[in-house]
Amino acid sequence: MTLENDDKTFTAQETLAVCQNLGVPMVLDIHHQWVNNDGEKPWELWSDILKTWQGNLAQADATLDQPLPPKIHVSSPKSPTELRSHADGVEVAPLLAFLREIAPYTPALDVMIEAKSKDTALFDLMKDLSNFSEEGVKILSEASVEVLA
Amino acid sequence: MIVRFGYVAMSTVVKNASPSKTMTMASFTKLNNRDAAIRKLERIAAENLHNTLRLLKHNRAYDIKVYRFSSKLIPLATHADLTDWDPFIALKDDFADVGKYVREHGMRVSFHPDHFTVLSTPRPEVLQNSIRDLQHHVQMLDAMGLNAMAKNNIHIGGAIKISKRLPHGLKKIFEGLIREFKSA
Repeated sequence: MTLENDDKTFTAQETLAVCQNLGVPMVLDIHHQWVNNDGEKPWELWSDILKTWQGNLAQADATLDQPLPPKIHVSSPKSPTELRSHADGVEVAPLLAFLREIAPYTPALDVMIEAKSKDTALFDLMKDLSNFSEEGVKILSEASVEVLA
Repeated sequence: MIVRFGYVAMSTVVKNASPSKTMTMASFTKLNNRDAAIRKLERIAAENLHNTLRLLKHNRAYDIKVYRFSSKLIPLATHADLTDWDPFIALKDDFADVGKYVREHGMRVSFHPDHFTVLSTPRPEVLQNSIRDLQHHVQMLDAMGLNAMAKNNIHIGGAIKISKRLPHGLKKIFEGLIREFKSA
């Protein structure tokens, strides 16, 4: 089981505290964190969130040479007046800012895109990320990148 | 840092591949023969699982390793009027086929029970339904033969506005669930 911060009740910090208490991994939703936070930047919580992925429950059935990467959720607001609703696609800038902050101490990360356009949003995001190939983003496949630290 | 991207349940590229086809309780009760109605639910579920497999094949073609299953693979699965129905008997092979493909291709899959699944609720009936729903998701992962690397992700408070303080007894509930759902 994983627990995720939500956009109205439990903030990322509160969810993190529960995850630490119970020893379960936390899924950080950076959109929820943006609309429901305690004044922190999302990456300020990351080293503690990362630790929740090192517990026994998080890594159950994974192997040491291939650990289960931490996972985050990403989506973008539909419009300035509908901040909590999901847009068709994903804005690359806020996501990339987060990825660059955590890249130096995070070997691997899985990102679940929660966008109305589903897999098309994924392909569009990959296209957008390819524009940063000279700024530390290496395209590895049609659905994965390396963010250089 | 290696970053892999995934998406949720449905493709906008693969046509006619909904993994969430459903039947309402109203149409279910309109069918006079209950056994036949249940067979119909099972046929819809088999189609949803078949479409899930089609989506996984699409994912493989595009190197997409991360995917979240639809929670609605089995229509009316946890409906209170259908507790005598065990859909997993008829759907055994369909679930196994999905799980086999996931394992063979080293995919990372998950479920995200909906926002009605909240464990920090002061309402006992909501808690009971939430636990039942979570159990149902664990059963689906088990039927796929997937191990604890496939996880169920839930919110603590969900969409219902509640006190931010963790209600009394919640820790016990979570600990019980974690023991029970260790493999999830």
